[in-house]
Formats: sequence, C-alpha cells, structure tokens
Amino acid sequence: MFRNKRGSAFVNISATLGAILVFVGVAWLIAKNWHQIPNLLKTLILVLSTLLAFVVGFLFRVKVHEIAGRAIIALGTLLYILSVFLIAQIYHIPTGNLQDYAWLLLLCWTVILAIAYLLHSPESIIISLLLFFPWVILQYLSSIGGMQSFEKGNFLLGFILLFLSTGVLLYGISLFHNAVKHTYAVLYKFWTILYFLLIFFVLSFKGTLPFLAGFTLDNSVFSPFLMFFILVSFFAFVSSIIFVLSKDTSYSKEVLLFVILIVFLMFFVFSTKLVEGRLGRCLQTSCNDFKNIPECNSAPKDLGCTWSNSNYCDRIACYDFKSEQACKSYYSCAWVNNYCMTNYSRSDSFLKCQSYDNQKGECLKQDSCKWTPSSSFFYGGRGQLPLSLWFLWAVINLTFVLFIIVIIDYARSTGHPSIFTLALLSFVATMISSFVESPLLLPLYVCLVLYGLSLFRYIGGEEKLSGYRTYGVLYLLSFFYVLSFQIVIPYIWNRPSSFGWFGTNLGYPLILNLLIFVWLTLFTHFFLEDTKSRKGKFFTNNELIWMGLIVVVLLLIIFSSKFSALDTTGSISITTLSTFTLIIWILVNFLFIGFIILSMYYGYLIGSKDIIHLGLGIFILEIVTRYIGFWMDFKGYFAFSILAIIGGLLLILTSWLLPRTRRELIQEIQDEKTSN
Amino acid sequence: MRKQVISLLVVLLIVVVAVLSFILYNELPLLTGKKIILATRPVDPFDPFIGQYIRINYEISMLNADGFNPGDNIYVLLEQDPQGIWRFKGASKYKPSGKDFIKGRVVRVNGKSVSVEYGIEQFFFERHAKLPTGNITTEVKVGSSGRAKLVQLLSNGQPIEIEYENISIRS
Repeated sequence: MFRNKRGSAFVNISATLGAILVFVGVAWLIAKNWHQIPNLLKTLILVLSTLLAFVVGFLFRVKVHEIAGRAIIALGTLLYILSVFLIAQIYHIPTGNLQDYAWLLLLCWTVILAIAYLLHSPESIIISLLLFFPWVILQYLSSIGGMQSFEKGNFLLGFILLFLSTGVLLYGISLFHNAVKHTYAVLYKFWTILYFLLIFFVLSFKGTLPFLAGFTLDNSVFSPFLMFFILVSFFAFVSSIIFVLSKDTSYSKEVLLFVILIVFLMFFVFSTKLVEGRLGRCLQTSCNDFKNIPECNSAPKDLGCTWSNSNYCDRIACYDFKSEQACKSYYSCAWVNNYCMTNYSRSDSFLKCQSYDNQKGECLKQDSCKWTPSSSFFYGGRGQLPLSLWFLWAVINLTFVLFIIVIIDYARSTGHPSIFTLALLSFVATMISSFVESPLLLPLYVCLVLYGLSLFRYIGGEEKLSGYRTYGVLYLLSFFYVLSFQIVIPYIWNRPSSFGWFGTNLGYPLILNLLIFVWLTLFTHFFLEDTKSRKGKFFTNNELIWMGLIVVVLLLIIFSSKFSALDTTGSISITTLSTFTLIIWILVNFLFIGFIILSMYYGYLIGSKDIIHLGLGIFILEIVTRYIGFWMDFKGYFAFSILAIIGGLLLILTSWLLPRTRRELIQEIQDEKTSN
Repeated sequence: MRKQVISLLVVLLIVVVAVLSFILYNELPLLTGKKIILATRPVDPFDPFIGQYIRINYEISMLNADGFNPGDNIYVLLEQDPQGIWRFKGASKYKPSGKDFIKGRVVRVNGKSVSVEYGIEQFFFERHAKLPTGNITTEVKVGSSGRAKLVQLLSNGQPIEIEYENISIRS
C-alpha cells in the first residue's frame, strides 16, 4: 500500500506555493518599474537574488526546516530561469527563432539539473524535466526547419520517435538510479511513464492514424539532432540495462516488458500504413500552395492570389479595391454596402473537390484540388471509415487501457501515489478525448466510467474506496470555491459577448456538474459496498441528507444569481457590482467557510485525516484568494506584488509551523479512537 | 556538512559562470564589433499577444541570391551609402576576407528570392511604451565572425528615447 506521505506532501505544496508567490511578487514588482532600472542593475538584482535564494535555502535545510529550505532552493532555480530570460531580453535575442529559444532552454535545464544533484533538490529536477520537454521539442522542430513536413505525416512520426527516445532515455536513467539506489529513480520513472502515456494518447485518436500513415522515412524526419538523440538514448538504455542486471536480476521482467512495449509501438506505427491514402479530405487548392511567383500568378482566378511583400503567395486583400467592378472581378471578393469584402462562401471548385473526400486517386486527378490525409469522421461523415482503421483504433485504445492498468498495478505494488494519479488522470483524459472524438459511442464511455469506478476496488478494496468520501468533499469544496469569486456570479446567467465561442452561459454546466455528482454519489451508495467499516450501503442516511442539503444550497445560489445578471457592465471590479450581487457574494463566502468547518468536523467524526488536511488547505486557499482579490480591486498591481511576497513568505512559514498543529489534531483523533 | 558546503559553493559557481558566460557571449560583438546602421522596412510595431517587442524586418532580410537552401549560413556583404546606411552588396556561402559582412541564416527560398534572419529581428521594451514608427533604422554591432547584435533603434538617425505611459491597471 502507499506510504502515508500526504501530510508532508501538503506541507511541501504549501511551501512550494509560497516560493512561487514570492517569485511572482518579485517579478511583478521589478517589472512594474523595469524600464527605469539600468540593464546592469537589473541583471545584478536577479543574479544576486538567485544566489541568495540558494544560500538561504541551504541554511534553512541545515539549521531550520527541511521542506521550507527546499522550497527556497526551488525559488532560486526559478529566479535563475528569470535571469537567463532577462539577459536574453537585454541583448534582444529573438525568441521567435526556434533555435535561439532552444539554446535558452538548454542553458536553463542543464544548469538546473546540476543544481538538483548538488543540492539534492527534487523540486529542481522536476523544473529541469519540465524545461527539458519543450527544449527537446523546439530543438527537433528547429532541426527539421519548422513544421513544413506536417502534411506528409512525417511531423507526427518525428514526434513519436522523439517521445519514444526520450522515454527510453529517461527509463535508462531511472534504471541506473535504481541500481545505485538513488531517490531520483522514481522521478525519472514518472516522466518515462508520462512520455509513453503521451504517445498512447496521441495515437488513440482516429484522426491521428491516417495522418501518421503518410510518413515517408526521409530526411524531413531524421534530422541530425533526432539521429543523435536516438543514439544517445539507445546507448544510455543498453548500458543501464547491463549495469542494473549485473547488480539485481529482479529487474529483468520489467525490462522485458519495456522492450515489448517499444517493439509494439514501433510495429503499430508502421502498421498505420494499412490505412494510408484511404482517408482524407479533398480540398480546393489555396494560394499558399503556390510556392513561387510564376505559379502564384498563374493560379486559378477565382482563388484571387497575389505574391505578397512577405514573399509568399497570399489571397488578395479585397479591401484594396475601391470600385465595384474591380472587386467583382475576383471570386474571393464581394461588394457589400459600398465596400469590397472577402467572400467566404464556398466556390464551385470547393464543392467539386469536397465530393472526392476519402478518394485520394480521384481527388488528385481533379484540377485545383489537393489531398489532405485526415479522418473525414469530423466532417459530416462523408465517406465510410474503413474496417482497417477501426481495427487499428481498437488495438491502440485497448493497449492504452491495458498500459494504464499495468501502471496502476506498478504504482500499487511499489507504493508511488504520484504515478497512480498520473495513470488515473490519463484514463480520464482518454475517456474525455474519445468521447469528444466520437460522441455516438456514449454507451461505451458509460461502461468505461463504471469500469473506472471499479478500479477503486481493484487498487486496494475498501480502503481506497473510502477515498470517495474525500473526493466528494473535494468536489463540493471546489464548487464553492468557483462560486466564491465576485466575477463569476454576474456571469452565471449572462453570457458576455467576449465568450463568443463558449456558446452558453455558466449556469447549465454548473447544474450539469452538480447532477453528475448526485448521480455518482447515488451510484456509489447503491452499487458499491463499504464492507470494511460499515456493512451494507456506502453512505449513512445522515451523510446523504447533508450532501443533499449542500447540493440544494448550491442550486439556490446558482438560481438566485439570475437576479444579478443584469448588472454586468463588462467591468469586473467590485466597485461596479450591484448591492444584490455583493450580498450574494458575501453570503457565498460565508457559506463556503461554514462548509469548510463542517468538512473538517466531518473528517474528525469519521476519523479521516485526508478530509482534515483538505479542509485546512482549502481554507488557506480561500483566505489567500480573497486577500489577493481585495488588494487587486482597491490597490492595483503594486499592492499585488507586495501581497504576493508577504503571502508567499507566510505560506513558507506556515509549512514550517503547520505540521505541529496537524500532529496535535491527528493525535486527538487517535486518542479518541484508542479510548473507544 | 563540509561536503554539503562544497556542493553549495559549486552550485553558486556554476550559476555565476553560466550567467557570466552567457553575458560575455552576447557582449563580445558589442565590445569588439564594428558599428553599422541598417535600413528597416515598415512593420506593424505591436504584437497584440506579446506586446513587448517589435519585430524588425530589414532591407537585407530579403535578398536576391543563387544556390542557397533553407538552413544554410549566408554571409551578406555590405557597403555604406552616402547617408551612412549599410546596404546589400552581395552574398556568399563562405566567410569573406577583408570585406564588411554580416552573418545570417537562410529561412526560406523562393527561386532567387532568399529570406534571411540575422538574430537581430526582435527589439524588446516594456509594455505601454510610446514608440515612433517613422523612418526607423537600427544600430548594430557586427563581430569579426559576422555575428550581429542589436544596439538600439534610431529614428531619423537619432537614438529613440522610449517614453512610457504612466497608467494604473485595476482588476
């Protein structure tokens, strides 16, 4: 079972949040007066702050408090990143250039990696690996000269190879750390799993497979960087295997499974060739398809192409035509209310090309048509999806779920809650994405949700199942937290025009979310049994009544906010809120604090340390949020900087003092249990 | 304890060396390079999403040259005109000797038309700056290897004094 590290994790998060707040506060404060500070002084401020953070963090760890010290060291690494980017800005290094950006990230992650080992700072290694991720992508993109090869599927193949190599490299490093019994082994394993989950996730879309199938194994994929990276990863992997197996043969099964996974993924990638050319859209050629001046000039007239000043073939700018006659001579323009505007209606060529969707050969025979591999599933279902695509899709998705189960089992057996959470989150992500991709498969996803719930039993029976109570409290607390913002209330029933794409107001999704919560609660109550602590139904009647009451209160808040909808003026400051909205907002915040206290009392009653921690954490979050809100409303950003610094320092202090308070409360629970 | 202190000192040293090397690398062309003035092409001065820099399009960003591919290094020969602006004279794949040149990287090729970047295309400043946009040239320092660094923007030949609006933003 998992080791109970939640208490220290909570303190850790609190301290890290504190460090981040101080970082944001300092950055904001400096940014406010940045242009008045000479470049040399700017650099000195940041570099000295960085060095100071390392020294103070080090002294804290040695003399005062381990976790607070680690948070300050993490702050130092963030300040170092800020220093690098500041210097880049001072010297006008163009961040728009992929290679220049990649150099900056390389300078950051390599130095931070060294810091992580020298000061033994796990937070720094996480920051380093977080930077490694964009670095490897940017470096690869730069080495292939951008995204030109996208249509051929080479782009996707390149990324899959890149992620596979990264996963292999990190797994090799993780094995090496295992062999020397270094605590970073689990961190590297976490990131290895993350990369593989990403590969599976990308491949799990039906739309991905036809794109990928178009790959052509040429120079546009295998840039010198990728070749070098693959070789380094392979070398690190093989040498780590030899090293770890020479010390401990119990890893042989894990290594074998890993190799099988790599072989499967490679085999799968090549098997996408089965659907090559079978699916895709037949589109009308556009001006951007003409790569030189003669081609651009001889493009079909209805496209309205012209060679632009930026050296590419572009659609003509209709608003340049001042006469109706000149405007109408281009199909791409339309004369409306004495202005020449772009004509977005579909041309005959567009409709002609469209009729050749999913028929590559016929499409390419037509004039002014081009073939783009994709799944036509999204585009009104023109053309049938071949059986081979369904087969590949099913294989990769089933393997993905199997992989997640293996990872969950691995997390359970080795006691790594972070890996368990990662696997569970990817399960949720793949369910959501699959649902978005194919809503017609709703019944399947309902089954998957039920399966997901059953995982709670699989991973540890009743003990984990009781975690559902914590999730329930967390869910309701988050709901209160969302409603506790003054800017949310007026918008619940009044969709601002700036949310154009959103399509609806916030009210319906909020109600839908509450109904899902009620459904899940009832499902748990009637179908899952908590056989360990209470025989029979999962929740007591009292618990159900209280939950029902809270849901009703939340619904009342949502509905009563209808009356505050009219005072939305576009501004979101407290000074523009109507009295009614202000009353609701204050009421929500009082109810929120009341619910937090109730949750902590509930945690105390059922003896759940998790719920007590949760209540405490959300209480701090509520206070910090309201504090920031007030200052930003009345004092502007300067005050926010000061507040962030003070708040951050307070959080670091809290992370130092809190364990004592927490221990006392938990001790009380344990004493009571013993006396009972 | 002693080992830990040594680790801390090594960390401090690494950070100082990394930062100083980075500064030195960027400072070198500014200290040793030759000052040249380059003509720019008019550009939209603000990026609505980033808002903190302008992207400068140079006269020498688009050249007529043969035999270049995207990703190639290009050495652009420059010649000073009577107004003191340095203009395109020729292009070479190899480093010229005894001539004034700037080193760039080919990003796009369309027939004979070659798009080039020199690493001096962005000029950073703070938000809410008031920046003149007419008749802009740039002062650049070019090192002996051809690597260029942007020094400042000029308007009508004079250094631009960037003014900042004194505004107060509220939530």
